Amino acid sequence: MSSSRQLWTQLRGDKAGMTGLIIVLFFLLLAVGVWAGVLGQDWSVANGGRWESPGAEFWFGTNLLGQDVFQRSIFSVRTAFEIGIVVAVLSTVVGAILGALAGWYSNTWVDGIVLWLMGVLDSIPFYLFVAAVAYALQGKGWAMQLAMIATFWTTTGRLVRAEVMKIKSREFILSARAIGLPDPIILTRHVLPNTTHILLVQTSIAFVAAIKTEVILSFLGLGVHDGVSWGLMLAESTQEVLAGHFANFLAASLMLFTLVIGFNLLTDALQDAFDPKQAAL
Amino acid sequence: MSKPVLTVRNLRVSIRSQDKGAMAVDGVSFALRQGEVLAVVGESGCGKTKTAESILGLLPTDTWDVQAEAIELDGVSLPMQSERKMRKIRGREISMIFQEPQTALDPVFTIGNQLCSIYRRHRNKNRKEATLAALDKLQQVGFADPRRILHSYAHQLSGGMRQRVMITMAMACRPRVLIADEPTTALDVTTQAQVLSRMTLLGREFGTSILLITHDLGIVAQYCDRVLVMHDGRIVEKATVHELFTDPQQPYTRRLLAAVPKVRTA
Amino acid sequence: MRGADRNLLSVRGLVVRYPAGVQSNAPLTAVRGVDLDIPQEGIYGLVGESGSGKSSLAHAILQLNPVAAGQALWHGQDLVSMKGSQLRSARKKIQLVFQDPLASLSPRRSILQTLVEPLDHFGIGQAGTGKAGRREEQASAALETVGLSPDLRHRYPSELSGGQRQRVALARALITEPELIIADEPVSSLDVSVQARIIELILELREKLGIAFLFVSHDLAVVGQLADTVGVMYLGKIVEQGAAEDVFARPAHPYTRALLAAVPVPDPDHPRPEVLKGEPPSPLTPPSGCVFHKRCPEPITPCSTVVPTETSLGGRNFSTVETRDSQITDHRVRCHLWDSTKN
Repeated sequence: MSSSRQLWTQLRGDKAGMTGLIIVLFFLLLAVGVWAGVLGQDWSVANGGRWESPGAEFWFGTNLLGQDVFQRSIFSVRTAFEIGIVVAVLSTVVGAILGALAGWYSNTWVDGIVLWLMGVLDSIPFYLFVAAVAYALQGKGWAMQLAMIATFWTTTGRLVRAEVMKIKSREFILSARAIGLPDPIILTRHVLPNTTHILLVQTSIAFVAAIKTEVILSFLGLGVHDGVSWGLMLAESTQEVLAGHFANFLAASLMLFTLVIGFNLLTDALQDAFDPKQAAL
Repeated sequence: MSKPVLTVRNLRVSIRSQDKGAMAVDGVSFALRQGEVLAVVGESGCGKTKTAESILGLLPTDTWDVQAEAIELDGVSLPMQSERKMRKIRGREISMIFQEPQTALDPVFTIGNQLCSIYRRHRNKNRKEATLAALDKLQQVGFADPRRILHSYAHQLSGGMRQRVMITMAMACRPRVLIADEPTTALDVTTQAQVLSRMTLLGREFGTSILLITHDLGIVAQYCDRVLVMHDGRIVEKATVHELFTDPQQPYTRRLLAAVPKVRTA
Repeated sequence: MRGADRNLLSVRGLVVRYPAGVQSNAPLTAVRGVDLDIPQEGIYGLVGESGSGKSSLAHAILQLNPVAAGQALWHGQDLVSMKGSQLRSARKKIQLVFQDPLASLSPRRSILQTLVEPLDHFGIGQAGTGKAGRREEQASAALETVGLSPDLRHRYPSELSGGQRQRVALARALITEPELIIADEPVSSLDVSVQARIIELILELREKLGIAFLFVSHDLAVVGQLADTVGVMYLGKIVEQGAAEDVFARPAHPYTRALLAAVPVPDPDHPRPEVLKGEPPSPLTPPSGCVFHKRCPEPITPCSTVVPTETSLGGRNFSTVETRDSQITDHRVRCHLWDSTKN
């Protein structure tokens, strides 16, 4: 059977991993619900009084402006996934492409440029970088995502580079070269598919990193502007907690925590599934 | 008849997993006699390596289920020993060398460092004595410049050299039993001849019995006294080397012998 | 068969040198000037141990390694400097098979995809009803030729045994209808019984399809079963070559003799393999003069300083053997002991 089916069988047996997967899928459903206009639509409506306690109408109570905390929490799931998916996928793609090029042409100028780029980006303090990008893009919505992609890709890039350097001396690559297949075809058809184990895991990790970063950025005012996110909710809650109102804080933290745990369990399970020592049994 | 040094009775090894897979080793019994070279020959997957690893208790118990009526070294039951005792036995009473010597040698320390530490730890020698003993042993396995070897790192040596270092390390304590698992499969034929000749030479000198696991029937014929033929986790035939090559009993053995390509000579 | 002088592949003075890189600070000369000829439908066994350069030589023929000097003449044209469409058509006709069957098949691609890839790349099998359909038929036919069921084409390499994978590798090599297959240790990682069957298959392929083989191996016994001509390599040079009967029955070079004497024979009464003294040399620091002189059991004066040239033994108390197509294969040795001008 193909490797994807093998992966699925392995994953199915991992209870923690399946739990993680279920959590992630559940949240994904919530996000889809918001996109579809079915859930969380009233996140900005200020219906209630200030800081109402959780009750029948407002399940999690209201915030300073009388907005429904529950609705806001649900809407934030969509925000989280929007940021998470975009950053995770694009940073992995950029990392995969640049890493593969660097690895394939290792010890040449191509490798040199990519490594230099990685070095430069890794050495810039992340939040300064984001602030700079945000400023440069003058508050356009995707400043934050761009900054994240620009820094997250380097980890994937390094891992892919190392793996490609190992793969390229393997005999099936020599076979491809022997019949004269051009490099770009070899890279896309034979090399990159053999790095999917790295890419899947990295995508998962990048997703978590993205939503956690969003929290901090929103806290600093550099993050989400229109809409609401857990980060914004947590930012709001700093004042509220002092006044004894925990709804915002608890809702955002718990949901964030649960989604992150779900992804972490899934990532661990993916790594175990790809572990060659386990596969040898 | 000399008393057996190593006795294995009804060894059964299987993977602990949900589905009842096949047994890796399915009821293997044999005795290794004093001073003999016993070959365990079979194709890949026949269970010969797992047999060796279970004797030394090297199979992690969470993945593998090892059962046996007896695994005894000089009458002492090995599975009954505590892990601490087994660690003392391994390397001192029973040594094992593997096919890929690069994984057995620590890349961070020099050969000398690793070799001498065995002498110091297991045979209570001080540094100077250990160095002298190490140099002496390295010469015995055929190194022309033992001092250079002592100062080298694993990656600076070729496969054959590493394997001879492994033999030195394995024999440093004059063990009762040396288990060699495909020790020359990854080596050139001329290097193989050197490694095997030194190994059997040292074995005879120290009275070490050797359990030689291999798939090469040529090695079996030329270096071993008795042979066990394994297939599918079981011992299919037990014989002296002469008996096996002149009058193989089992069809599997005969098939194995027939498949061996013979070098054409005059 | 065609005339006596029809060599499929003629290598002349080939030198393969890897530039200074990560592995070593100095350039590494793996092949130091090699001459060999492979006749049509011939099987040439290239024997050597690690560091001999045999794999480097085999790969260099298809431009997989940097060639510093020399030529590899294919139908009269030099493979080493070929480019463009000429190279393409040459590559169609010369295929490569490797040692490790698992590593030589792309793990994430099905057998069918692997088999069809060369057809797609070379544009073979385009005519006919439905491009994809015809190529799949060819893939199935190739599988049958190597003794595998066409049903296997949808499986992945990890689902097949070592012997099956190696057959797939052969099927892929066959599918472009090559004239020469370069096989680099194709049976070394297989069990003995499986080895025997692959060897049979190779002989069959030569019989039925007329494919020549350059068979690289360290295993003399295997080479002995297959090869018409044998070449023995040591540290980048061919030290002896000739018809297999000649080289095995009357080995001239001390290294060849040492190699033959070192192979353990499945006969308990046979004398034990002899040990060749010294350590295998490193291609980075080759000895002066004859590359073998430091380990030679019978060196004479010139050996340490003068590089020996090839001497022909044909017609000197040794009979040359007539091969299948009435071609005379000369027995040649590169050794001062046999140098007629000196003796």
